[in-house]
Amino acid sequence: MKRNSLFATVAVIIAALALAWFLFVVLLRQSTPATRGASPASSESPAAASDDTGTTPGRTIKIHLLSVAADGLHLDSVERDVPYAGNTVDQATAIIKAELALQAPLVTAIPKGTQLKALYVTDKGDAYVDLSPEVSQNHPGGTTAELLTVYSIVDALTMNLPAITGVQILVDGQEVDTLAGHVDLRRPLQKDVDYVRTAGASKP
Amino acid sequence: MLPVTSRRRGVLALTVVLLLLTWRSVAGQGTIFTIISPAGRRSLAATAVHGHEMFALNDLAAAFQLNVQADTLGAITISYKGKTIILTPDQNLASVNGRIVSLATAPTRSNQQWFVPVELVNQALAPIYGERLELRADSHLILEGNVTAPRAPEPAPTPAAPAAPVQPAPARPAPSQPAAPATPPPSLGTPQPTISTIVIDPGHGGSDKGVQGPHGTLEKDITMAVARRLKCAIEGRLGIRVLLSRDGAETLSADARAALANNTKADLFISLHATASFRTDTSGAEIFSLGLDRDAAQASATASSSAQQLPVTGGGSRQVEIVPWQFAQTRFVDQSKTLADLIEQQFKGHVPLDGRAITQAPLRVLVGANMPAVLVEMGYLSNADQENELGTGNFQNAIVQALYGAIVQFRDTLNTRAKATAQGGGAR
Ligand SMILES: [Zn+2]
Repeated sequence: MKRNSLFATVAVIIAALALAWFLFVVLLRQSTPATRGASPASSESPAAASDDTGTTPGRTIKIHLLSVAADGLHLDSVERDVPYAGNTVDQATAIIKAELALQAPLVTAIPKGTQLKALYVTDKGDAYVDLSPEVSQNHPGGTTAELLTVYSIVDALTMNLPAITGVQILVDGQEVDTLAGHVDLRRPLQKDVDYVRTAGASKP
Repeated sequence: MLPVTSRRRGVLALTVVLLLLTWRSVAGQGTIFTIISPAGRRSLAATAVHGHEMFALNDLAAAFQLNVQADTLGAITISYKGKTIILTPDQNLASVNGRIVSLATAPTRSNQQWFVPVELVNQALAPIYGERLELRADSHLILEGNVTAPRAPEPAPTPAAPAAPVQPAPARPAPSQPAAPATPPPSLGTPQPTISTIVIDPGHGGSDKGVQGPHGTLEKDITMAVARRLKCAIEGRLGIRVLLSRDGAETLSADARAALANNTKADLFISLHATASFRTDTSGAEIFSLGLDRDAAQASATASSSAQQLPVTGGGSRQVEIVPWQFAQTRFVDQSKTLADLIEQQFKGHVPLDGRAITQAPLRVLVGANMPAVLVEMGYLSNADQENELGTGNFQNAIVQALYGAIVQFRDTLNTRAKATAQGGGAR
């Protein structure tokens, strides 16, 4: 009999301890969402690129853009000055705009008429580059050409901005499988300097 | 003997404890995962259900603010910021924002609660979560958002089969195999042919024309013409079954092409294309196999495959291996590279190669192929001379001959390896 009450008492004490622990965990969980909420918000709705704001007038920095090499298989790096921006998103925007604006006599891997619609950067360092449909519609096709188009964008950002470690190309605001049927664009791609031939490129 | 009333009291108290703790067992059958996020650490308990480490769905939902709803038909919908995962009880396939993903094991009900495999975090939750979410099973960590954690010494991911030597020395076993036993092994009967089905994928088709040459030649027509010739050559001379992913004008998705190869248990997948350059004088063929960047390699290392008993038409069932679709090719990256090397060798002197000849790249159609797979760009349609060449029977036959030669060599490589394995004591 005594042993049984002892058994029951111990059980009740364990129950009380468990309840205390349970409440502690629940309270802890309820206190975290507020702080946790901030992190997805900042990574999911980062500052979007704006047209001309964010750059400092007069001040420029040297960057390396990419054009198609004479062999048609690689990218040559081309030095250009772009306006200095105080933050990654604006600087990335300036770089992509400069990449899209490269002109003859340079041959670029960017299909005719391609415009930058928006650019986002997550906390993780993934940049989302939203391009107009011309990047796909006016693409000549073929794995080789498609790789050069994709890595013109990916490497232009990752080579110039160490804060950006991955780049995913979107078309008209949408995630796409590929631009022309070959290169998998369903996830951010990392820097690949095998396509780049000239100075300014170094393996990570 | 204990009096019934006090025993009942004890049992009641214990039940309270058990209810409070649920399966959060202090007896140690469960494990605690630590969630590390920029906001701090929290815990999530896992428990072994039918021998598999699982999270109670309610706990997982509480930990990541997921909304869970069970419908009358039994499906469970997990939603987060407008994206959904749909689970079906006792089925190890989930729909993750419309994509079918195979889970490590099926969700199961125990003690009035739903349990899901811990791998669900990587396989289904991470893709819809919006920010980084990574479960490291061996170190019992879940990394959320922008945090870093030292990588515990995890067991290396299952190594892919060793890349076969390009030219196997006939008299000696492959270098990675143990020495042959002194006495010959008993005869194993007729050896299984290592390649019995090949899927040839004529690139593009239907409304997807692919590259268009300056004189109007379409990539989809060239790929079809070569695919038909290759099928004839292989079937006629090797007796291997060859299936084309399309017959004529249909438009197929990349996944549909790989699915045909997976569903027919093909041993090889060869996708044929003709390419383009932004420079009109670029010419030559180039052979591609899948390349993985650091993220993709890491993601595939955490994915696991599982075997399942599935019913087959005509009665009975058979063991089917379920491999996460997006990682199917990762196990064959080395073998695919070997095949690409063999094709390059066979092309030399017969089909001109471009300045790179061979490349590993993240190519969409190869990702889902659950067998050695390559993509062959046969030449540049953007180059007017090559466009003419690609349209001729002679050039197409040269390509077919070279691919045929590479397939024979690849088969011999597999046979040599299989023989060496058998002689080495039947390992694997
Ligand atoms: Zn193609």
